[in-house]
Amino acid sequence: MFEVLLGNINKKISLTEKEQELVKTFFIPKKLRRKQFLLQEGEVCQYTAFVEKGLLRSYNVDEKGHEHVLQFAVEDWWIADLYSFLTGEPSGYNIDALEDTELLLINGSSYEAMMEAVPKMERYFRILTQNSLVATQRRLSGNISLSAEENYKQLIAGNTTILQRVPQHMIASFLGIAPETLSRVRRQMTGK
Amino acid sequence: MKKTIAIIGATEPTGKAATMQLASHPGVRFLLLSPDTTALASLTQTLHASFPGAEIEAMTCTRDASWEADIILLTVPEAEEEMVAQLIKEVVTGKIVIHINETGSPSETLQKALPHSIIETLKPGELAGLSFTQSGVRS
Repeated sequence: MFEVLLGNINKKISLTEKEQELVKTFFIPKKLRRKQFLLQEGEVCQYTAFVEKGLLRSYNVDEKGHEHVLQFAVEDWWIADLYSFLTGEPSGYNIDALEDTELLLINGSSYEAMMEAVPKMERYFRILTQNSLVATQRRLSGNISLSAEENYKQLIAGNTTILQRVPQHMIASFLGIAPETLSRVRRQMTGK
Repeated sequence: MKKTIAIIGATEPTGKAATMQLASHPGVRFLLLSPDTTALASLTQTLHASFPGAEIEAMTCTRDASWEADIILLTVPEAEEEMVAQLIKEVVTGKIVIHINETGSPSETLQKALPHSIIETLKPGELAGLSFTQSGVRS
């Protein structure tokens, strides 16, 4: 149940067996079925979630009812609305399961308690924050300066598993392009 | 996130009464468990008829249901508490486990077996005052 999380942590920092056992006690194991929500717009995001198995997406819905995908999270990834989690403000996002999913959840007070009990975890979360900041910067930069084809190439370079598991219209939404545009880009790439 | 409550021992007299009391709570999903599958099917049918639209499901695996659930309601006979606790302990870390017994006295067995869960003990009559919020349960 904790194999993927501990593997992820131990890639970045080194925990003793005792520390690993302690870290486990701060997480809430949670199963979600496909189409169930971890978070719905208007709720306060109470948890940061680590994906042990399965696939989720976070998205918002505009005034016309169109969904805009912000993030996908597969095994070994974290997902949350950090703004809502950190401020306690209601979230503008939804997070739902695209497959049956196994999560490890941590709430704000357990998060703080874990840092106090296992100070090494501060370094782990600092590395995660750095990585997330770089990824966000690259996504933003791609959105404002790259073509649809270049953005798609960047996406498939590191996320082949997501592309095989997520419907094309959601990939298009993630890239901020129409599904027809994504089909055209894919056709052009296979033709090359 | 819609709260999911697993009721372990749903066909026991206390469990049945608790289930009937709680099933009308809006925005809550119920997973019912009992080794007596015939009685469980009958209870589920009655609940669906009494509370149309309520999300109520009979399940067979106690561990899986507790893994899915946010709150676990334990209404099994005292002699079975230890066995159930051992079955679910890995998947209820950080979760509220509500233990119902006639006296309302806390169960040492559960406290010991589930040290990382939040154990609440209630008398059967105290269930009516419970409300389930986004962050947990309030009595």
